[in-house]
Amino acid sequence: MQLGALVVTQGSSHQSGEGTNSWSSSWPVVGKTVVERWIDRVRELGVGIVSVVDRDEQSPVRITDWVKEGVEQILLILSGSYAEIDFADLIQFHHQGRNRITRVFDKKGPLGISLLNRRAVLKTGVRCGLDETLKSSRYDFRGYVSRLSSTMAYRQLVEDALEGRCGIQPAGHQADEKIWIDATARVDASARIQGPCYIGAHTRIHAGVIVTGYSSIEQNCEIDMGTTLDHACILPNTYLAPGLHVRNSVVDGTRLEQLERGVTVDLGRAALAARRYHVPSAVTRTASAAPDGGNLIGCDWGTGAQAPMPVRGDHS
Amino acid sequence: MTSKGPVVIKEFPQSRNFARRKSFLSEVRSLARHTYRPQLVLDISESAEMAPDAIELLLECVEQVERADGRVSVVAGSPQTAVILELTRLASVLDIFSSVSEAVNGGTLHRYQHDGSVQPIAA
Repeated sequence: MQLGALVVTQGSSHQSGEGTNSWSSSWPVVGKTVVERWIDRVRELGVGIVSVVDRDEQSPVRITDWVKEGVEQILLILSGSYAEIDFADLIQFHHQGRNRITRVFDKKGPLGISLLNRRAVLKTGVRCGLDETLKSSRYDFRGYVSRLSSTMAYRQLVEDALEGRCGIQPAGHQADEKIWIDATARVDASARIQGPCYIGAHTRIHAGVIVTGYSSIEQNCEIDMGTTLDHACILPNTYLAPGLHVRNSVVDGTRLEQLERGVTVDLGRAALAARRYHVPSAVTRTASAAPDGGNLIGCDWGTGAQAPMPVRGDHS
Repeated sequence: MTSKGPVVIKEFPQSRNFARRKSFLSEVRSLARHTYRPQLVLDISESAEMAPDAIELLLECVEQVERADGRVSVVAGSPQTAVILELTRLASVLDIFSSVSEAVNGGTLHRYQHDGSVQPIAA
């Protein structure tokens, strides 16, 4: 029986709220976005047809197309949450109950995950995938769930991943207990990295930097000299100026959201942060090039010669 | 000898006018020269954000006042300003308050004179 999976995103431009809540589904969680993690899990199931579409635009059309092409079941995932569902069990439940539509619930309500039969789509049209008022069977899930409705929820998911409270495995090499550093990251020897934490691909950590308290630094970031990160998430392509103390915050380019105070500030205006657009790959060396291939902590894996500084974006 | 010096409130210059900021800094220098342990309260409550030059100016004020063994307090009206002060570690060398009355509470309010002297304000 052919099974297709459709992951519906909020779109890269979507943000879940205004002001102090800027969470977006395009934010990576220790190396991969939630959508990428959904795709990985669906592929592990052996699903051949996987498609990612933007919500409200293409998903109903795609469902209809698949049904016309003979796909018998469609696994529909709205990417507003992260849940560690056993898809094999869900499919078995769906089969055993001879259900047309099975929706997944946790104790707080629907999770936006449905398994649809071809006949249900043919009978009720494209609405069946997204309309929660239609009659359906309920699959109760009791495992790990994170409803990604806010920056706070995102931050909690990162902490859970680093602490091992959920099944998310940080990308990159595990350099020490609960410390993951991508092979292409460069960490100065004087930087202090205290786990649990994550340092992503092509990221540069300068001298004297302290990374602590479940902090994550995603790909292509630059943390300048002496800056301290404590319970902070630094999103891709962010440059942070020297000497800062970033605490309980999520920084996306020049935008910092301080979770404790619930305020957002534009760091670009104070010249404390910038959006980076390009990192020359030639200046990085992978961990495999290290003589012992071992511990990345406190080692500068850059070239022996002084590497040129990456190009920084403007402060606009 | 008193344990605390006079409390002087000054409005932090909002504009990026170089002359205005130079004049402000010169007043702070004069205060630091003529008083012992001044308690300088800088009111930046009207400012929604901190520009790089404002951070520099604030640091310069701290340096001048600390030379006189004094202390600088800041009235940060917006939480955004408070976040920037914490982020730049200025919060560790400044006392941050949410209002002027809170900042001067416990101290004796003084008026700063342009000749560098300070006069107590009668209750």
